[in-house]
Amino acid sequence: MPRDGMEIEIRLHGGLRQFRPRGVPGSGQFCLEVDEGSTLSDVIGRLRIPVSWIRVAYVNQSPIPKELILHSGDRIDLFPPAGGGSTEP
Amino acid sequence: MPYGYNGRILKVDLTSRSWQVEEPGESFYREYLGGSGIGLHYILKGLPAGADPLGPENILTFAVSVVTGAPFSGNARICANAKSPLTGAIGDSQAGGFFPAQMKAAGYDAIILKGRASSPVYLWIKDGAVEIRDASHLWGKTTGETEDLIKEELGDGKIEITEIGPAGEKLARLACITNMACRAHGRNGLGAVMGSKNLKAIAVRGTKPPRIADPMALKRLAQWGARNVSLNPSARGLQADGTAGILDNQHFSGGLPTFNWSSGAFESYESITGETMSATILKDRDTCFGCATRCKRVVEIKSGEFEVDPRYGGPEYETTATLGSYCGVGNLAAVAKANELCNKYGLDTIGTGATIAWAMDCYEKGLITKEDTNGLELHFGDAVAMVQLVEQIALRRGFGEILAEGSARAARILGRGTEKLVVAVKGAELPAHMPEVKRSLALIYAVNPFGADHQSHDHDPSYAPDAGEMERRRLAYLGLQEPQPSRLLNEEKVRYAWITQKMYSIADTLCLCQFDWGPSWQLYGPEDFVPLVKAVTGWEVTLDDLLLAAERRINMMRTFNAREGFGRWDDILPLKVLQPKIGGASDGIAVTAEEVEAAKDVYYRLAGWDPATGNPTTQKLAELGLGWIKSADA
Repeated sequence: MPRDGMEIEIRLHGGLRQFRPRGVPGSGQFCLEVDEGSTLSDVIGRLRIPVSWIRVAYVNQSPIPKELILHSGDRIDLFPPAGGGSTEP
Repeated sequence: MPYGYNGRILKVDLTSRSWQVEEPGESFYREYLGGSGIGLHYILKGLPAGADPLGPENILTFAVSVVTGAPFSGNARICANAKSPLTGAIGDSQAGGFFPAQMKAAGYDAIILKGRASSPVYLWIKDGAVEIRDASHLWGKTTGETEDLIKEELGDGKIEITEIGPAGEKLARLACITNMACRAHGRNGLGAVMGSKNLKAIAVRGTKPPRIADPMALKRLAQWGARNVSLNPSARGLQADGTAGILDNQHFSGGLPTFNWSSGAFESYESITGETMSATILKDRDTCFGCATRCKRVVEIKSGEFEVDPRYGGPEYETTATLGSYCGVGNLAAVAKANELCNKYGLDTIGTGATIAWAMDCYEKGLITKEDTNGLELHFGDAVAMVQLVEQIALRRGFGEILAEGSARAARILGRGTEKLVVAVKGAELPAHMPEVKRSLALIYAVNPFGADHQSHDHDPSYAPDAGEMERRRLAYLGLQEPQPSRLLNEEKVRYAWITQKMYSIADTLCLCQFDWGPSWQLYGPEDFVPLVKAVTGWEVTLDDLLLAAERRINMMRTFNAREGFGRWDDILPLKVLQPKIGGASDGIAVTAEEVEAAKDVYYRLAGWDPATGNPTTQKLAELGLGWIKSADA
């Protein structure tokens, strides 16, 4: 556990599931330990997902900008482009 | 002998059980390309205005294109057209599978059917030879049984068949036409047209695939597509979880129709997503001819309340929404069962689910009672009632007798304010993409000639300011360089809708799958269409030539409708879309009639149509080489 760390829940959808960390089940749903004060951008970078693959990100089921700071227990859903939903709140 | 196509069109008169072959020259194929382009040509030539869609005068067409049968991803579609018994306007619906390629190899680019056989028949085409065979032993059989029996009778397991089930035989206006018993020409009630002609099936077998002008170029194009499925996020997602993989995103963005369009969010969404399907009942990922994307689902449930036969495939997104969230049913087994019944009996899952949801809404509001429903209690969320109703609609039993007419006609029969709860345009129920959050749908749902349709243009997120680099580059190629927010319907958004509508119309004339071929997020983009046509046919064409053929298709459909009395007064949205949604990310959001009217003004101007009627002018038809059609303003 990193110093001043927190746990968040990640859900990778559709084709993004290929970027799940080794050992994580195929469903693409897992918990991740990150530093306090991490942003969504930090998490995306840590998972090494190409930016072009992420169409929309929701935190606790609401769309948020990537610079927003996360909190312990937050649930992040990441979606690739597809004929799906829009991003505006 | 041309490259890519046969140059032969089969015209069948079912009344006299006779047929003839037409051989239009190259200029015909260059002008119409195929699909509904060819279908509409024959319908406008041969079908008088005011004809009964379920009468012998109606013309039912099946058409592939100049590129069908060449092996590459997304090249497995076929278009069916007729006057729709559901809407009274032109009917247009595509299906996939292996039938399209086999029909091309069997020697014909299109089959034009008129009249009515005196007793049930099926059409058998083998390498150009045509036979009309007795189908009285097949009448009443499910789609799967029909396939098995025909293959056994003709002694060839490689035959491809397109068929109707009992729903089409019983003239349910929600009836579809299937092939493989699990690929469907879903919309507009074309299954009832086929049933009204006593035509149970068309079986094809061909050993002569089309000649390819430049086989090496085609091979490179096909291999590029196969390699890029895993590199294209949308294609990759479609393979992983099917079309229902988008359901949770739809819910989060407030765009998942729920409780008959009262809300854009469904609390139990997680139970019916593509991911949940992959983790629970998915048996296999299937595909169509030549396609590396593999977006099709095959599901199986061997025991429990709802057993599901994998023979009938698995639910698409539209099905998980219309038979799921629209009805408040958060039960994937029930949705899969309902999907199986729709494919088995030959019903459109979109129209059926939306009609059941409408009936539930009416019941919850006390507008209909158990007396109307033949004793069935109809509450949102009742999975058992939903599945029971699917069967009743297919077989026209009990309350299904009225519901088989579709929600718009059923509302006219029942009255009592039920009309206000219908969610349809021109009688075609709205599919599961909400204009409230993707505003260009408000325009296209309204103006589309065959009623509300979600596969007629590119949706708003592709042209939003935060869209990806690939989408931005491809849309710029089409002259679209000013992204707009998804919830805005301004002049630039109308331009986007019109241009992408033409691109989707190219797909429907070339019979390409719109998941793999399109203007933005698809596997192949706008710069790939011309090389494709050249590689297969050898023609030197430009994208403008293809866009013109696409515009022809749209204008022919619009002119057909004008002859039937349709105009801008029919291009209107249902009340539910104009009312604020409840809950979720679209809470309080509604489309306004004013913004739709303003958008229509811009749209008709871009299309070159009369702004008062919304219909093509004589001048516009002449410009498109369609001077042979009498326009409404002549």
